[in-house]
Amino acid sequence: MSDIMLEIDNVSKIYPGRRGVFGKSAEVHALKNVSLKVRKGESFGLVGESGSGKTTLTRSILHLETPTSGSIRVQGQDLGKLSDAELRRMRSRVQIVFQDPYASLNPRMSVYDIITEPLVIHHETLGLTPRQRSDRAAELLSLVGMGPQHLHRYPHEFSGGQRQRICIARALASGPELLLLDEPTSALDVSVQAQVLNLLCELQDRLGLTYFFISHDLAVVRYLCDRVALINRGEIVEQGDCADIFDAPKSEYARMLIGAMPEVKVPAGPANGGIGA
Amino acid sequence: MTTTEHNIADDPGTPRRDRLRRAFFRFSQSRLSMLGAGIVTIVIFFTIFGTVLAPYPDQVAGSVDTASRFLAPSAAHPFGTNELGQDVLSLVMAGTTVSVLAGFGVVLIGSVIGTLVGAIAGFARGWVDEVLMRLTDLTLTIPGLILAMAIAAALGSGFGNMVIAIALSWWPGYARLVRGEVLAAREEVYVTAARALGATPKRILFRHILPNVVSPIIVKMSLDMGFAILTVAGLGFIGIGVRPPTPEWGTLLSVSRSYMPDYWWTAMAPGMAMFLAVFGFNLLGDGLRDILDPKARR
Amino acid sequence: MTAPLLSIRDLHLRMSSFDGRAHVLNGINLTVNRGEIWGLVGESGCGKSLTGLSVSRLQPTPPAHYTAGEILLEGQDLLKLSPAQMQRLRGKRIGMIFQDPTTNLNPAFRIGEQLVDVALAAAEHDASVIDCPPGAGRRERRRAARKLAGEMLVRVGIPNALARLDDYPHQFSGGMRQRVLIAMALIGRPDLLIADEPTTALDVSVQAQILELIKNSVKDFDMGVVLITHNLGVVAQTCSHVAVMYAGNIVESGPVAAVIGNPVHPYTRALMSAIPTRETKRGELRGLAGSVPNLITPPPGCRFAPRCQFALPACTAAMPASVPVGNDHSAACIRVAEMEALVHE
Repeated sequence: MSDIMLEIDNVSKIYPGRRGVFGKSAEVHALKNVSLKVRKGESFGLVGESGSGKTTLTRSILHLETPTSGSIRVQGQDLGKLSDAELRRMRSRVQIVFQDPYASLNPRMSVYDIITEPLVIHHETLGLTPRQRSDRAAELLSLVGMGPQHLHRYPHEFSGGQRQRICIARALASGPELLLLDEPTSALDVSVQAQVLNLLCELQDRLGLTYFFISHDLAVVRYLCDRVALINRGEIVEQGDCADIFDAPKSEYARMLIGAMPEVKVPAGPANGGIGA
Repeated sequence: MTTTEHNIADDPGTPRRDRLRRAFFRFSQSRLSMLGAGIVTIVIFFTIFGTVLAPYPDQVAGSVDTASRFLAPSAAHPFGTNELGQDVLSLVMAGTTVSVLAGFGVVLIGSVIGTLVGAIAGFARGWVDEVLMRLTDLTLTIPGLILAMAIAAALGSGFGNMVIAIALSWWPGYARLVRGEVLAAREEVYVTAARALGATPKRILFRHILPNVVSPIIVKMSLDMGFAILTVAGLGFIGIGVRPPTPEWGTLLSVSRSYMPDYWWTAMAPGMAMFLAVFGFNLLGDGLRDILDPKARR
Repeated sequence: MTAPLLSIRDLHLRMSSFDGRAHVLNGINLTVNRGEIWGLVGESGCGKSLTGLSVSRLQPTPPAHYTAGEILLEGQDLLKLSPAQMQRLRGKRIGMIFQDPTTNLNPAFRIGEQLVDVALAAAEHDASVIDCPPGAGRRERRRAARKLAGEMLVRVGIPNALARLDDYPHQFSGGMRQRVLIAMALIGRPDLLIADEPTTALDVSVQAQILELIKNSVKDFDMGVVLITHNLGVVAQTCSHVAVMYAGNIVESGPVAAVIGNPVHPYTRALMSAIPTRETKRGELRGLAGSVPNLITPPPGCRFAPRCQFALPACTAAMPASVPVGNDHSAACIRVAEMEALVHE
């Protein structure tokens, strides 16, 4: 078997125009012939601004959305050709962490219920007894740096960073190989972002995960990812090794994005300089 | 380096109790809510013990005392007696059981049917949604009381039939409320997360969507209780509900109508009881809405 | 010497809630002159937004309660003004921009009408805002205000501005809406602009343009700006000065070059080292463990001490005073003098 974890081959997604009283609105080409390969064990970054098609692509990989044309293969299996049972098994292998840790946890479920839900859903595949499930829940929590005393609490009692840890624990519960990270730190403070990024590095080293990291924050992508693709208006503009793209961007779009990055650079000039005049 | 952060949520105190305490604190900030809760407590007390505590239990069961017809309020009969010489206070106290239980039955059956219909419509969408919602609209076009009268006429009178008759005209409000809430909840990120995990539609509906739409349903149930009691009384008033001698507020009021205004006390007690119950449930509902469903506040 | 544009002196703010009274602002001192852009940075819950809301007096009291201090706008204490007087100041002398450009425009009115209304309200207090003779009638004044609205949209870089005056807010993209809000904040020619996370909801490319726009406006209008943000990169790119806030205190402040080039407070250092840069190796990002303390029972002494890697027993004894460490640069830490040595250990 090859070392390709995820292969997106010529995927397009067209949302049909809506027919209304005042005629038909135009079709929306959310994705145009997107192709990319993610290798096993690497961190692949997908960078794009709002409306670039990042979200549509993510939803397509999760099979929450069906591409209009093209194929998405996870470890060689074409998502479009899977039976329902196979798809359910596939879902235990591809998991996602969402951007907003406040919205992605059901407020009526305790941390224990949240983390063990994947174990219950995939009990045919995983075959855990209830006892093993609760052991696994505690183990998952400690994996993301939290303690078993948090198991029977509810999401609203946690800070943003802790909730994102809970989301990561939930995503890891079914033992996935591919983890989609949809801007997992952009709703967090920098200090917390650093903790979560470090946790993600640690987990990847320990569990051999493959990351598909979606972000608009180039600094974070540069820090975490081995390879990166830039997407703009549904098209991949540039892809390659992270270092190459940041050091020598080829496309105009990449240059513009990198130029707009707000970096902490020490401004030149006298220490008390105002900016007027 | 360490990335743990054990320090924040480790404070003592059980979270569930803490949440209840917070909710109660917010609830108790409003005097009207507390007044409502107080009235409702009294009403529920009489619902349970009204028949037992009535000063003249045999009259509640139907015995008459023609010697003491139409006595004005006195120490022996605080609300006077009626045309059959029965103690009005006893009848009203015992009537609480029938009126409130009937109202509760109506709201319960109505909300269960409505929640089911609304949840299925909002969750399935497509033609299922269309069919169910048009059916709901159809039911809504017929005035509730008239529909209830028709159903009651078809089923015959009696407590159970009356409750069913009103409940069948009661569910559309719940169906529309729940459908809207379900439509909104199914777009939540945690629902998408559950779908990505491979959860079945049944699991998504019952574990993720319905628990999150319970609050507005409870609020509506509480606000509806008063109105349901009124409707039950209304059916009694026009003679379709519970038949005498079973005491019921609407029936009591209906009978005493013939003796107004000379024997005003026969109407006063059941009227006041009805007013208080409706008022109490409405205040309670408003208070509950403020703590359970803060979005819906004006 | 004339009074500075904005001077916040020893401002204390308490907030009452079910859990008790939180000391959310604890002796804020900040001076903003014309031509300066002050960045206010820190984690969420540090009091940045509350400071901004206090200056515009938009923080409702209660639950908030000012226990001490003053907020002087060219010598006039804003905390002593009546709501009506304050209402007059907002829009005219103090302009505001908020994070979410979608919720701050009325969807039912055209952009032009909303701008004209703001301009006319400002003109009631300073007729020179709109270019109009004193005795002009209503219609003439409206026409002048509309002309000004068009000019402002051009100035904030909205293409085809005059035609777009008749558009509704939903016809603008997020970045364009934020430009409209900036135009609205600037149309009364305010002396002070308070921008609370104005670019957080926007894409980086749009963010860069909006920040450039704010910078240029400072030059054009000779105003002062308080820019509230959690992004040190934005501060480095835009501001002339920066104040770092932690748990209701300003822990370090000064010119951007001095503070970011030579941060002396451990919190500033920690914030900066949490940002991944070109040189950061994978897995070597230095986070800041823990989180902002509960302000109802704040830790004794320096509020940062529990998370500080350099904390000494003495740190918990008393709140450290702000000490100067250079030209206009000051920090509130008892180990400021040793910091250079500590870092290189």
